[in-house]
Parts: sequence; C-alpha cells; structure tokens
Amino acid sequence: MSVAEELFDLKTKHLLKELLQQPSVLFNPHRIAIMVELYCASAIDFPQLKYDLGLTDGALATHLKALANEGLIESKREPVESRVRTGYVITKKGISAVEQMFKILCEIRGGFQR
Amino acid sequence: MTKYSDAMAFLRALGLADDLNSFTSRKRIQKLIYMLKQFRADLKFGYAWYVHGPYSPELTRTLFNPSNVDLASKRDLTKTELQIVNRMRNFLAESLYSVDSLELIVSLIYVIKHGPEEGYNTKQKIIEYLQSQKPQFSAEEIEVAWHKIEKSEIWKNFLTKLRG
Repeated sequence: MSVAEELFDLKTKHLLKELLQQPSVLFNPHRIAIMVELYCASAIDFPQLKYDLGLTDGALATHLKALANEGLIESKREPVESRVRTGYVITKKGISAVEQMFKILCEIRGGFQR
Repeated sequence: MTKYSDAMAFLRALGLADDLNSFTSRKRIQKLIYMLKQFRADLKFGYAWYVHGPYSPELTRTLFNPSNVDLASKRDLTKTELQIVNRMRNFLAESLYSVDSLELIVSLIYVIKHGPEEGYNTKQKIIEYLQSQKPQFSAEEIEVAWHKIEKSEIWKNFLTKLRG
C-alpha cells in the first residue's frame, strides 16, 4: 500500500464523540421518522403521523412525548376548519438536531468510502 | 436580501408573518409559498413530494430556524410581486383560508405536473393516486379542485399533455 492510499484518520474518533453527544431520544427508528417528517413538512397532525408510521395511538403518543420533553417538537391544539386538531411542529432545537445528526452520519459514511 | 426576507415579504402581504409558530400557519405557509411559485414569484425554495404531499424542507430550515443575517434583513414587495399575490388570492378565493382545501389543490397541482414521470398520466390515474394518499378527501372534493385548476391558464400545458 502506498503512502497516498493510507490515512492517519483522527476525524472518525471525533465524529463518533460528536454522535454520542446528540440527544439520545432521537436514536429510535420511529422517532427518526417523526423528526424527518416534521423537518420536511414543518407541521403535521396526529392522525396523519399515525397513518404514516402505522403505530397505535399509545405508541405514537409515547414517542411524541419523549421528543417534546427534549424540546425537539411542540404539540399544538388548534381549531382547524370546524374541529380542534392536535398537531406537532418542529422547534429550532429540533431542526438543528436533525441537521446535526445527519451531517455527522454522512461524514462518518464518507470516511468508510475513502 | 435573503431567501428568508423574500418569503417574509410575501407572508406579510398575506397577513401570515406574525404567526409562524402555530400548527395551522405552518401548514398554510408550506402550501402558499408553493402556490406563489406557481404564479411566478421568485422564491427559491425547492419542493419535493414527501410521504403525503409537496413540501420544502429548505423552507422549514429557513423560516423556522433563521440566521442573524436573515433576521436583520427586511424588504417590501415590489409592484409586480403584489400583483402576483393578488392573482394568487383571486385564484384561491375562499380556499386561501382553508388548510384542507389548500392541501388538496397544491397536491393535485403537484401530481398533475410531476405524476406523468411516474406513470400517472391520465386524469383517472392522478385522482386514484391522490385518493390513495389522501383518503380524507372525497371524489367530489377532488373533482371541484380539478375544475378550479383546469379553469386557470397556468397549468394548461401540463393538463393538455395528459392522456384521455
């Protein structure tokens, strides 16, 4: 192996450390899916999330509560058309958390490809 | 000027700039920025179909997590841009105030424009796809939205390309 093909890679260790500093509440497939949907749409109501994720009311409510407790999303109860709906919006902290998590994972993946 | 100040100028004209944090406003803003782009507003937010409709993650990022530069920049709409707002208002009419109606119209326009690339190249296929994605809307509601879109010249080129 030539010198040019070798790397003295200290970056991965740094990235893993950064990954471990991210809110642990995010590292669950359903919570990642909720955050990705909210990142794309800005706001989604409870029935739509339930339909998209195929979860029971209880399971979805548990995930949403965990994300809200961490300040990543906020729940809203508002009148829409003729009825009151419960919806969720992503917070500034939530937007930053999603971006940071995927940035770190993409950088780690970049290291694998070198 | 930034993408944030451009979007905010349009939202101020629509009376939506003071309430960016409510669930209803955010839903409306995603749809209205898409509609403004249809009416040739120079708003550089990319849209893609995510799970159940066209959304712009870039809009989420820009409007709901603005930088200090964004917050410091402010501008008003030009005369041409105000005309765009008025044309859009006239087209949407009462749908401007209904989140559900806006969602249906925007989704339908998106599928009319981009559905043929995925094989949804007839009115029937487009309506069936939309019903599968949005079962909350009745066939009659979709038909009303279709007629509204059909009456405008803006999407004429896309509609004439459909088969059947």
